[in-house]
Amino acid sequence: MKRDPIAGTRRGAAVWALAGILLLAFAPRVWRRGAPAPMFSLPETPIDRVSPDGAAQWVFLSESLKHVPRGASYTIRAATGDEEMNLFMMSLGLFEGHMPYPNSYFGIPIPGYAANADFVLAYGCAGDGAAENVVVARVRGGCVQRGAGKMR
Amino acid sequence: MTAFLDLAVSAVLRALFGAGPARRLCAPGASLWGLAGVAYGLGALLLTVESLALSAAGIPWTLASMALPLLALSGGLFFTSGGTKELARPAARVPLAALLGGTLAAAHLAFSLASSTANSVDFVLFYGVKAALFAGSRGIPSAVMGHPLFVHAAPRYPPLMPIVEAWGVVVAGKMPWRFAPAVSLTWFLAGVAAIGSRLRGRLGPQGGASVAAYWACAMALSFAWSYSGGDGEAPLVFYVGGAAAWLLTEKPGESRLLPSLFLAGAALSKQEGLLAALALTAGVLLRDAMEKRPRPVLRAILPALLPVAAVFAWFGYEKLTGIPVGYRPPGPIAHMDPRLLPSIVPDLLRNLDAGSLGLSWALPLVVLAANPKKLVRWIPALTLTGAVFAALLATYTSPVPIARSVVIARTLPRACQPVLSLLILGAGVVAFGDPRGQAPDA
Repeated sequence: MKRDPIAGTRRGAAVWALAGILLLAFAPRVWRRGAPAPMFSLPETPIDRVSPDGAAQWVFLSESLKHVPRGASYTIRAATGDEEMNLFMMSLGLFEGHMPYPNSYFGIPIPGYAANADFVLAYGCAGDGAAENVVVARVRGGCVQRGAGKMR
Repeated sequence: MTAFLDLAVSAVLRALFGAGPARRLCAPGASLWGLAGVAYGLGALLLTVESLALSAAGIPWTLASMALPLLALSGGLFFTSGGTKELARPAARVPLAALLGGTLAAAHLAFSLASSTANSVDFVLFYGVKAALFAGSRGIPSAVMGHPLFVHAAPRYPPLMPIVEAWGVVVAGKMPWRFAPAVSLTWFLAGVAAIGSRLRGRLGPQGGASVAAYWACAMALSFAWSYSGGDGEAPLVFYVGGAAAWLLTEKPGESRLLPSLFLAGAALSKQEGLLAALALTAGVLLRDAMEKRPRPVLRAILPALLPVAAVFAWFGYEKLTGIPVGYRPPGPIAHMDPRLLPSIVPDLLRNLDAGSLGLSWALPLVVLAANPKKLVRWIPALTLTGAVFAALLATYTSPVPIARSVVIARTLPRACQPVLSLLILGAGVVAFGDPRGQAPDA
């Protein structure tokens, strides 16, 4: 008498493999979740589907990058501290080779620091950027402005 | 297309870095694919160690400075006579259902990564950022890593995955942000190849392939569901799963150098890798003692020592280069409140979904429950399960800065993956393995 119906036999092996295939019936749960997008479209950012807000910030940063020369310094302004922090964190990868001057860190303002930046990346074209800042470019998600840095 | 090509080239080179050591360390009977999977993991580990050494010595990371020493070492080991082994001729074809399962699992993960539904936000906040920074700086920039405005990027965290991703950037010339998370697919494929080959050799061609296929399906679903693309989960599962596949099916007296190196890789992949390595080793020690295998304590030294040594090597690097040393201490566990347990149980169960409404856990648990007399064989899986869940419960019942349910939802789906992986492997050994791990190689 077999005590363990799924052990040690060819039939047992088939049960394991078929059970695995059956599990994959749940795969579409992953494909359908997150931001809506056509099934076979390539994403614009690494996080299109998992974080639409983060993806919008990513697009803003990657488009801003085209207007900030390598070696220049930048700061980021946004409506909230959370957005500013998220943008700062992502910018460190995208703006490799540039000098960041964060306007705030985890929502805590860093007084005077951002004033050294050559460029101000204004997410949503908002923020309290100095009135004399010249808009260099309008990009998806915001504006790139001249800052008060020495590269001016 | 170029990005995919770069990704493939950097992955193939990683495997070549480990090909020599893999051929030395794999037991006779390993298939070519199995050898390639093992080589991939060993290559990534060697690349990490070498990159740290280059960075410490102030030698810039370039394609030549990184690749040539490892290719020379690997080639030397591969072609010298001492360790070369004949590759196994396949004793039997992989069963069609197992082949189909593995292929569909890989396709699911590939599609999920390509469409970004499986990608980790941590990739654009930490892992990828560090990789781009390392590659751009031609080494680990200690001034940035030690800067107070860089603490958000977890500079003390184990460096393996950022270094592996930085290597991809060195090969490609720039960070292919959109496609780089697909590196997790290469770890997955390497894991299926290495573990599948080992299980086929030790559990028999039918049973071994089928367990590997189930593992592939369950882990592909879990990786995608838990947003693991581009972060440290895939290497952690590769190394812990690989070590377990070797240790759970070993013959008495068999060398433990390979699984010990895998455990060192786990410790350099994620902070919890050290816990997993030590828990797995403790379980193996207990199993050996209960089965009265020879010298259980002596044989546990190497798998315990190498992951600890790997972590201390990283700490030593931190000390040498002025980066804050050690891991950030856990939260105030002294203030943990066990009375919270009943209230967090629903969140715990909900987040054991693993992309399958929790069904991935069912088959291994049924097999294990149906074989209580074979408990001793899966003790290593049990100790790891106990250690991981004890650590998680300690975290979840301690004061947390945001809603407890959010903390659980963000961490548990990833943290439980090595546990699921090991339970599947443990159940497979119970179902198809010889009591003393002496099943003939296929």
